[in-house]
This record gives sequence, structure tokens and C-alpha cells, in this order.
Amino acid sequence: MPHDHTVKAFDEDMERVRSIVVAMGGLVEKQFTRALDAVRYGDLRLASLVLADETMVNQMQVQADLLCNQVIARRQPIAIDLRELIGAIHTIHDLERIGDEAKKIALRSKGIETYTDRASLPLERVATMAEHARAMLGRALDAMVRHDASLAATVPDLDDEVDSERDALQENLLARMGTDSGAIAAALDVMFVVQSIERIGDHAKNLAEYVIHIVEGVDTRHTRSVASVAP
Amino acid sequence: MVETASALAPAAPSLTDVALQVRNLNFFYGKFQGLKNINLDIAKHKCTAFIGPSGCGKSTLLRVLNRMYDLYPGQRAEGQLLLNGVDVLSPDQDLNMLRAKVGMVFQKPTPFPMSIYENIAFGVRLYESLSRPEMDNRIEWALRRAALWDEVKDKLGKSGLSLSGGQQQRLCIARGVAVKPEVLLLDEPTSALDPISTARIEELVVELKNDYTIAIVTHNMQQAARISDYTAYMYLGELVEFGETNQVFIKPREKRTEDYITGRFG
Repeated sequence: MPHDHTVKAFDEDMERVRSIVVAMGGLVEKQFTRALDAVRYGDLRLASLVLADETMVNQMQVQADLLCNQVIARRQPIAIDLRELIGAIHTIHDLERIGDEAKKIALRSKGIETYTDRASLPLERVATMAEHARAMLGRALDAMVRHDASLAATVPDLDDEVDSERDALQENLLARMGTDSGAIAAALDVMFVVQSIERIGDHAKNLAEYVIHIVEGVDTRHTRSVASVAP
Repeated sequence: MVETASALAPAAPSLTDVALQVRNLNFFYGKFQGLKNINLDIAKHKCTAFIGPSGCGKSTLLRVLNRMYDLYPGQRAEGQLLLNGVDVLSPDQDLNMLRAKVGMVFQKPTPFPMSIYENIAFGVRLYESLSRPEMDNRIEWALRRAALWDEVKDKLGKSGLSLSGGQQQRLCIARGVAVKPEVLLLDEPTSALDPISTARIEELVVELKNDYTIAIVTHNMQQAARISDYTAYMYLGELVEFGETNQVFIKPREKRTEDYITGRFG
């Protein structure tokens, strides 16, 4: 990270932005974990906690956006400070979306839990897919805190795993729905959960791309050219 | 054949249309060396900003570009400064003609103690012999170019000193463009002006660079980012980095440049 600004208040402003982004990242990571556990173990108490946290996530998004606007107006940042603030604004948006997807997963957990043949659903495979997405999010958040472009560069590779697991699960669930009409509602719930996990993986990939842009000044969105910043 | 600045300067952009070429320029105030081996190209019909801490040599460099230093004994330049391929540092150079082609506007507005009309006519008469109608047309043209005509057209006989600071500075710009220069040098032209006057001058610079090459020294980082096409960062008489403004202010190549522009300097 670059050393301190001559104007200490600028450093304090940037630190406030980092703190709120980190806090928001931690909160949505917890939401995601709880929502997945609610689906896997049928713990609807966890689902309720996820829903309850959504208000906090939304408040943090508003607060963080306002703070970023104030810093831009007050400090007119350029170079790495500008990249970091723009990165923070993008990150805040993606984190809020992750929170939304976690909420959707939590809502679906209720339908899955009440299905009479719950054990026949591919929930362990969903859990495996979710672990990859959770790893993506965890790495992206770590990379963001440490301004570690090399770590961030490893995140998109996991996205391929998540995507292929999604494809396999969708095929499995479609086949199930085709042969067992009684399973359609529950299978659709699982399908939506799978879709949300895949979306969270995409958002985590975005976070990693923002980190690379902040640190290296290279925009890797819509490319697979992260090899130049990988170790 | 003159080497391109891109072969010499710290990663200078490759310019196809160049107004001024600075080659191996060293400048001395007596024994003190104010500029050290400067190499860069100033793009034609673009605005090049020079930034850097006080004492870095940016105003010194500007004053070499029209040989203002010649007014002061003990100051000398070594190297080449090519305007249209001609080395204007040569002892044979006609300095009056050079300063008509390379005009200068200073930080503090410097209208002559004359009428608005005469402020502009004075310089024109040094180089051209115009009839009264021709002079009237030239003065109106220059004042329009400086976005000042509408404000002063009914009081051209009034003293230039009666104008506001921002108007005086635009009068000085009109005075500069009236002699049809190729290059305009602006040495912190808005640092003494209020924000609205500053905005008007900046708007004027953006319009003027369609027809003139502009070189501006500024302490205002955001101003350099707003109005310039190329930015040169200088420190202790050296050119540290030179590049397209978008690149210098988003992702400078040199850490020293980034430290300075982000306020981490010192």
C-alpha cells in the first residue's frame, strides 16, 4: 500500500471507506455461510438470521456510497486513490448483490426443508459447489484487504469450477423434474439456490477484478488475461 | 537528424505533430544548474502541463521556450530548442520575432497602463503595419478569441487597469494572440484569480488549443488534469515523467510522480 498522505485527514477518510467495505464484506460472507447451512442442514433459524441482516447490509451500502461521494468531493482523488475509491464503489454494489443472493438462498431453504423426500435432493453436491463459491469470496475479500493482486488473480479460475458444477446440477435437477412431478417444487428451489451460488461466484470474481485494477491499474474485466498479474 | 524525444526522455509519448522539440537542455543561473538534460516534444495544438514542487524548474523551462532568460545577465541555456526545425537558442535568433511566435502570459495579470485598445495594438504595431480599420478588426478578433469582446466592446478607450483580475488576464491573453503566435506559454495563469474567473480561463485554454500550442505551468493538479493533453512532472531540475495526462493521472509510471500528485510528497 502507498505511504501516508501529507494531509492526514485524507488517510482517515480512506481508512473509513476501507473499514466500512471490510465490515460489509464480513457481513455478507456470514450471510452466505448461514444461508448455505440453512439449506444443507435444514436449520431455519439460520435462514431467519440471514433475512434479519439484510437491513444492515442495505444501510451499509447507503452509508458507504455517501462516504465515497464525500471523499471524492472533498479530496478530488487521482491515481491510486481514485482507483481505490472507484473500486470501493463497485465493491459495495457487488457486496449488496451478494447479500441479496444470500437472502434468496435463505428463502428457498424453507421450501427445501419441508420437502418429504429431502434426502434424495443433491444437497451435498450443492454444498461442494458452494464451497468453491465461498472460497472465491473469501479470497477476493482477503485480496481486497491486503491489496494483493496475485491472490485476486487466482479467483477467476475457481469460477470455471462453479460454472461447471452449476451445469451438472441443473442437468440433474431437470432430469429429476422430468421423472418425478412431486419433486418439481423442491427441485426448483434447489435450482434457484444453485443459480444464486453461481451469481455469488460471479460477484466474487468482480471483486477480484477490482482489486487488480486498484493495485495494478489494469482492467481485467471481460477478459481472461489475468496471467500477467498472477505469480 | 534530430532524435525523437521518445528515444531520450523518460518514456515520452510518440508524437506525430510537434511544435517544439527540447533536446539535451541544461540551464544555469550563474553556477547553479536549474535544468538538467531535458528532452521532450511539445505537441502541436495540444496543451502540455508542467507540474512539480516549487523550485523544480518548470517555470525556468517555460522561460527558456521564449528566451525570457535573455533579459537577465548570468543566466544561460545549453542544448537545443527547435521551433519548426530551427534552433531558437542560436545566438542568431531574432528574439522579438521569437517572442511574437511564442507568447507568454504570467501569473499576475500585466496589462499595460494604457487603454484596452492600446494594450493590444501596442504589440501588433511592433510586428505589422496595419491600417486603422485593419487594426480595429485585429483587436476585435483578439478580444473575441479571449472571450472578452462582449464585456469591453463599449469601453475600449478605458484603461486596461480598470478591468477585474479575470478580465485583465483575458486581456493579456488577447494581447498574446493578437500577434498570431504559434505557441502560448501560460505561467500559473489562474493562481491569482477567483474560481469563476479560473473556470473561464480554463474554458478559453480548451478553445485556444484548437489553433495554438499551449504550454502551462500550474500548481493546481486538478487544473492540469482538466485541461491538458500531456503532463510533464519535474523535480529538482529533471524531467521525471512525461506522458498523456489520462495516463499520468490514472496510473503514473513513476512512483515519484504518483507520490507527488496524490499528495504523499515529502
